[in-house]
Amino acid sequence: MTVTELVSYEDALATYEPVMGLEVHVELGTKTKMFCGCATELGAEPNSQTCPTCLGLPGSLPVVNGTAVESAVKIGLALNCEIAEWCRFARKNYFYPDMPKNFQTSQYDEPIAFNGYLDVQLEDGEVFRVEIERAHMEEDTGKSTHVGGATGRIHGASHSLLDYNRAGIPLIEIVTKPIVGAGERAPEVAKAYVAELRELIKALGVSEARMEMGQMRCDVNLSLRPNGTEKFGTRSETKNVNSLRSVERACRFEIQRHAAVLSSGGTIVQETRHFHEEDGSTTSGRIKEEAEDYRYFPEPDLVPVAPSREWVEELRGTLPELPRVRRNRLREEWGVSEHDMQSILNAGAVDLIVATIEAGADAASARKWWMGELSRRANEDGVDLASLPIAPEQVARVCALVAEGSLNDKLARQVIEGVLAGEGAPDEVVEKRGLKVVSDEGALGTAVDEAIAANAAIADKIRGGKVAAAGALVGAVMKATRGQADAARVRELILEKLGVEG
Amino acid sequence: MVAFSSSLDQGGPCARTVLDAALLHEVIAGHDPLDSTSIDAPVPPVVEAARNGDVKGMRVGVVKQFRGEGYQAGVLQRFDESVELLKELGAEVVEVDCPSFDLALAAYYLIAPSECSSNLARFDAMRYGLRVGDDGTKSAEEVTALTREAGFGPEVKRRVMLGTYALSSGYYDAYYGSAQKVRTLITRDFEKAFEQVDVLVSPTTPTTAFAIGERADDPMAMYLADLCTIPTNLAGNAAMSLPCGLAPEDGLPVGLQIIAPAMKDDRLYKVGAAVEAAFTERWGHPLLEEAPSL
Ligand SMILES: [Zn+2]
Repeated sequence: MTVTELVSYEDALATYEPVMGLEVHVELGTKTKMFCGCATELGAEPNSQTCPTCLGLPGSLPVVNGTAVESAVKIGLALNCEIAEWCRFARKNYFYPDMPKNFQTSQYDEPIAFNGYLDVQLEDGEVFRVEIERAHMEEDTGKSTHVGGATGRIHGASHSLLDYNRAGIPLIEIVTKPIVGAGERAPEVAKAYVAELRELIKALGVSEARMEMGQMRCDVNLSLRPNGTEKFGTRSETKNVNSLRSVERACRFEIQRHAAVLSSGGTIVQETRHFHEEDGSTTSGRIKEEAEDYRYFPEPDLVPVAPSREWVEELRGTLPELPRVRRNRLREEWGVSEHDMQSILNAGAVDLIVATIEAGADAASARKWWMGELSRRANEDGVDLASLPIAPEQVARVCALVAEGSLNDKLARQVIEGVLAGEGAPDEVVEKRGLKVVSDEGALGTAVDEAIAANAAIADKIRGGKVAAAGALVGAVMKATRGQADAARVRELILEKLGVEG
Repeated sequence: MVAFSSSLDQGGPCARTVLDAALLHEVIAGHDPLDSTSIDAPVPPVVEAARNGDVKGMRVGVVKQFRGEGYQAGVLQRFDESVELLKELGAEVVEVDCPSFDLALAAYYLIAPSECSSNLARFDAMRYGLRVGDDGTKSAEEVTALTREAGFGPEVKRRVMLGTYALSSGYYDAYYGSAQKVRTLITRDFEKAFEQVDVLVSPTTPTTAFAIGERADDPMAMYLADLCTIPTNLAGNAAMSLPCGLAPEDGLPVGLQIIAPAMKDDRLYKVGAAVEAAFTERWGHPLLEEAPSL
């Protein structure tokens, strides 16, 4: 393999225009597989969720999962697609050990949804329309694990293990039309598109679309053409780019790589490429010497799928508010800037904040906790905000305790800490750690008296009119109460006892 | 049932008498929720039909295309006698023209191998069955290739190769695509024919049975044996074959094919039972009793 010197991103864009095509596979969250009744839960014992159909045993036949078709139609509608009145499955024939029948039941020239678009919003609020070529239904393959090699790749492995639990899980493949006109923002558009699509899929409730779990996988096709020309260049296909950040980086890298090859008079080879998370580079996979021939033909074991217009309209009526529209609405309701909203989105905090508000918190407090303390914790622990062991209802309870004066900010942080440490619900943590604000006037009065007695000189200054010196006494009281007093009330008491107007 | 050519594969009863076939038919027919291509409709009253064989007033069509070159004289003789018998029993016999049937064999031998090449792909030595050459030094691809080489016979390999070729990009439209169009034309020919008649009849095969292996070196001659049954298979009609005598030149049995529209299986049994009864009476015993002397 020859290493190509990259040209700078700016130089690449000065000469060439990127054209992208994005293919996204979404694993549907149906209870059963696409063509059999096997369970789809992740993490089960290998090959424990299989049957004659998804193992491709002779004599078995497929039966279409109705919920998967419904999900496909919903996705198509949400992507502003036309829904086929009649369409068929097709066999995509190729040999691979993780594919039990050695053909994948997919759709070819008759996809269930076609000709749509998805509007995506970039960080500065600009809306870019990505046109959708098609969305079609297919089944996932099994999983190969190559053992004995250094890299987990098949090369150098002594043997391979096959797990067919994933074989037959319903997939929707969503293919864009060539994305042109994004210019230097192409990588950003690619990332925003995948992000928007993920939000959409989640909002539809058809999949959790967790990229890190492989529930959503992206292939990035990219080519360059000299600025001002029409003809598309030769494309590379970077497979399995499985995070939003990686989508952006893969695009960027390929733009720079293509530009380097083209600028030095070379030609781009049409090939599959692997993306490397470590350094954001791509390397050559297999070269497509001849276009792969999948020998597609209509699946004779299944009858055509013909969604009635009435049903399609019924499903259209159940579509939720589109994520972009919802985000803009929430942004206005919460009174935050475009930029802040983007941060909230990037942090994966939108739904958490909404849930916290629904549980009774005010928008500002809910946002403050999730974007402040909790985001910091998630970052430190290297986990998703949503996987922190604290529920929106618990955050809302902490907000309520602060609002009623039972907790101050400092104590509230300790309560959150306690919840995260598994010490129980907020009220339990308050109880166990003894974190209530000291509002018992008697106890507080005693603490104030003690502070005055111990700091006679300061007390005299205050009596003499130096009200600002009260801060030192407040500090002493707060220290004595281990921060559990309401500082404002402490100050009032000090001034009262020293006979000074505040 | 192991899939060979999914759009053509069809289970059916095989029995000593028409009534036995009907009884078995009634048991195995009907919708199978695990087979989406099975029709979800009531099974026609086949047993009742088999118990009440009768062709009086029935319109019977003789397909013009099912005779001529390649048909054995003795086969045609027994077939013509059967048609005469049907007339004697009160049927009204007419000739029908199904011009697209001439293309049936070619279409069949594109569709069947194409689907076969895909259906048999699962025999790859990975999950079950024969595994050849797995000595720890070979890749999965090599083991798959060696196993398929060893496990499939020459006729299977021929069909897998034909089908792989016919489905290849650039050839799909010319081969598999055209074959599917022919299939539609044949279906239309049947529809037109069934506007005029209740059932169609023909010889089941153009010649009597050939010996095992006799045509192994001449696949075309072997494929031609399917000439009369293929149009029905392509169109998805109901059909039955029953013995109508022995060919004088070789003493081998000749089959009479009866064809009815899909879901009109009862007509086959009605006609079949009438013909069976009349022949048994004529011969003084069922043809099967001559079997040991064959
Ligand atoms: Zn299964």
